[in-house]
Amino acid sequence: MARKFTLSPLPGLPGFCEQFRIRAQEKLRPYASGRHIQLWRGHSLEFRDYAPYIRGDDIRHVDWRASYRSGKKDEWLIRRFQAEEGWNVIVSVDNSESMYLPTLFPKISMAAWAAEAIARIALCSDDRVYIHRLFGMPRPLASFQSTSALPRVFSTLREFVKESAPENSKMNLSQLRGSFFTNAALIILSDFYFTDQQTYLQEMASFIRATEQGWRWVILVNLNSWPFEAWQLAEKTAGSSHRVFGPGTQEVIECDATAETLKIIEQNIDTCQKSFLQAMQRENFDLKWDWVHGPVADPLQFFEKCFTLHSSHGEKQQNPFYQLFIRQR
Amino acid sequence: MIVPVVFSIFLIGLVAIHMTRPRFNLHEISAARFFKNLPPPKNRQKRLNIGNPLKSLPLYFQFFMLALLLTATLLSQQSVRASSTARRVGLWVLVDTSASMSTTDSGQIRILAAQKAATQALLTAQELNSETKVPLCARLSAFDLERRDIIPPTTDLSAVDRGLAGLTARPLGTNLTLLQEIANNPDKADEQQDVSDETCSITHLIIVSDLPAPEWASKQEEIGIVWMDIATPVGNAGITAIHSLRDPITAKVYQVQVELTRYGIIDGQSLRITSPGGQVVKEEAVVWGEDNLWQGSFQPADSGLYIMQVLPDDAYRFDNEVSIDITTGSDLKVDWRLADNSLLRFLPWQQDAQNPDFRVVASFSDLTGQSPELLVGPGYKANGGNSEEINYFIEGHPLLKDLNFDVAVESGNAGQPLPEGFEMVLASKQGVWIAQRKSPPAVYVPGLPQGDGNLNAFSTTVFFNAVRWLLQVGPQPPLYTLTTPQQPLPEGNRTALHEDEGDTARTPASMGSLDELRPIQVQTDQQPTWPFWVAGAILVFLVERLLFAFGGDRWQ
Repeated sequence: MARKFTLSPLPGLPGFCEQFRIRAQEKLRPYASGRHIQLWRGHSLEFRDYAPYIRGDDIRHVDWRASYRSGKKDEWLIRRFQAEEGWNVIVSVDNSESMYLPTLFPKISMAAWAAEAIARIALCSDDRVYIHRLFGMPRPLASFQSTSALPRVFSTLREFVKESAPENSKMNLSQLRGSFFTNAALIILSDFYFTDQQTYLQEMASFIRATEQGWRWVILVNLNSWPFEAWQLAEKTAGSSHRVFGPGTQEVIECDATAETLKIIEQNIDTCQKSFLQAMQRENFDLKWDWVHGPVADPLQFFEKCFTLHSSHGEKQQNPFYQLFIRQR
Repeated sequence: MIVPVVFSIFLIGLVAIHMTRPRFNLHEISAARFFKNLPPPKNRQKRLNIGNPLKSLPLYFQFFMLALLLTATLLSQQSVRASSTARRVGLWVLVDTSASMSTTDSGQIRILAAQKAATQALLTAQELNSETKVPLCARLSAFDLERRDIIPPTTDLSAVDRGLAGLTARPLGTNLTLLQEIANNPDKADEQQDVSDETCSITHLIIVSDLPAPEWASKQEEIGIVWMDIATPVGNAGITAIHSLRDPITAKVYQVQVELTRYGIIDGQSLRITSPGGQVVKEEAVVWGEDNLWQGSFQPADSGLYIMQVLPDDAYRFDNEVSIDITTGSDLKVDWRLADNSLLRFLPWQQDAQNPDFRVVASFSDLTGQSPELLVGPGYKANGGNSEEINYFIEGHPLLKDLNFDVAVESGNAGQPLPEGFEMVLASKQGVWIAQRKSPPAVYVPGLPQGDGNLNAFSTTVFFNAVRWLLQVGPQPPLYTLTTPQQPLPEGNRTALHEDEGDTARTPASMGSLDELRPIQVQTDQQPTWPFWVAGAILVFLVERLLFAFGGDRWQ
């Protein structure tokens, strides 16, 4: 049964998105050891500004004089040019049924807010943004450019997520294939509850592998609500049995809420996701946002923490968004 | 008693089963698919827990149950149903005891024939049902202008026979609507009366009368009707109508007209009228017309009770003699003082200045106050024909009876000044049209009857209203009255001259057959329906609990 959801706009975070700016990041070729930037011949290059040198940048663009003038001994400055090709950011939102839970703060809400935040940043940087639904009836990619398209971004997201895709829906990969450019980043926001029984798993794996072969970047963001749901199960009084139902089940399942049982479930989830990563030829997700083991008091605060690198455990992660978006000084 | 106890134990046991079922908390989890193939939960112990909810998911069961209980409460005793039926024969014998049942035909009085017929009907019913051994009950009533219950419902038919023997004809008319009401709902016919403890569901009406069966009886489907018309046509002649001619002024009777009607073959009648003094004032042979009617008349000379007789007596005698009370009067005596005495020549009034009934004068100065006086004004066109609006009138006054006020407005009479001692009855702003003086009685009118058309009618009505008012002429008593159930005996001018009772020559028309007096399935008892509604609610509760206990997850 399709689940319905009404998306509320991303609450205003003053200057939140404007602090980021897309920085064109060269994609590391599988066989290359460093990073390179491709110069497009025939394009007029107009100097735009200086940026700190990061390992992998083209050494030819280091402006030694500016670096010397900056006074910082170990910090080189590279020149950035106006004719750098704009980024194409494709945000793919998983709209399968499991994303519409838990009911108190569903994962789809986080995914939609993240998509909206990414779109804002990209549009502010004059880059093109595409919004994509991972499951359901095929639809053309929604394309946006310039900040004037921001209202349409929210309305498109609201339309995309208002109803979950039917169970066993196929992935909409055909639109993505046709839209992949030389300078593109595909961000998939999902809980990755893809079991082995779902035939599209291999299809998706081969697609992502092919995508990463070119100068394209695939970022997998795992929305993990299991800590919160485990807390829900364990929170009830002792001596009670539980009946669980949800996406992927035909009937109610009776279970205990013991620590042992919850551990088994966590392992099951982990096994499933590992098999997916294995198919992708990856070791980990690029980013994992874990729900807290308790009630979500302030969804907005929770989202901001996740999006701005502060993990639920207070540890700094290797956030690919840092690589994708550069915080302006 | 055992059944309710067992059922109660069963219900309690069912509730106890629910209390021992393990409690579950239901969760909707996004990772539900990873819960498959888990080991069975250990916490499925059954133990009695009062806190275990008794409710089940489908609330409509509870609502339905509550609706049934509410219906039972609302209906309570009002809604009933037949709880059982049985074959019965319930006879309601209704015998006509109106005046026509005193008719003698075929050598016997009709009421006796009716008694025999009813008795025979009861015997026949007994014979027909003797082999079936179906309970037979009967009741007896008499009807004329009212229904009288003679014998209440009983299985003792000899009591009904005794009741029949005591029936006599009464000098009253016949009201057949009483029978129709009984036929439409025989069980409700005794709401206002006490009935015996023996229940007797009426299955048949046995109506014994000298009237033919009416059309509604043949269309009756609710109950069987056997209509026994025991009459034999016999000739009868009698008084059917009496009219009086009265003085339009005094309302005193000056002539009485009598109408006789003949039924069947009979001849040689005469009408004799005897005065209050016992003298025969008229005796005339009746010559029947082709329409079997004859009319005669006489002028009563004296006031009092006149007896009109049709001689000789015949089969039906209640229309052969009628007494009427007549109040007569001589011609009016009037002291006419007007110059114009043309009206006096047309009216049967006598000029008498010595002992007049009333005086008619032209001027206020001529009033003496010694007798009722009529003061006549100068006429209706006195002011040259200008119309005047009515400014005052006494509503409902006898002097204004049947007057067309528009004529007064257009009459051109401005009205005269109010005579001293008089009160206005009809006046304009300019003056009075009609005035009265109560003591001694006097009336002022604008003039004598005059003019044409509306003015003539108006002026004539004014004049005679005034004369009647002066003479205090009121409603006159009727010449005769009819007997009633409260006063059934003819006495004085109370007579049994009820319509159609004298028609003794009708062709009899019975309906139905005594062979129809056989058992019919009737309801013998009624019970309220609310226990069934309660039983329905219990059944719903039972189904709901069974589903909850054994119906699987979808019912929990």
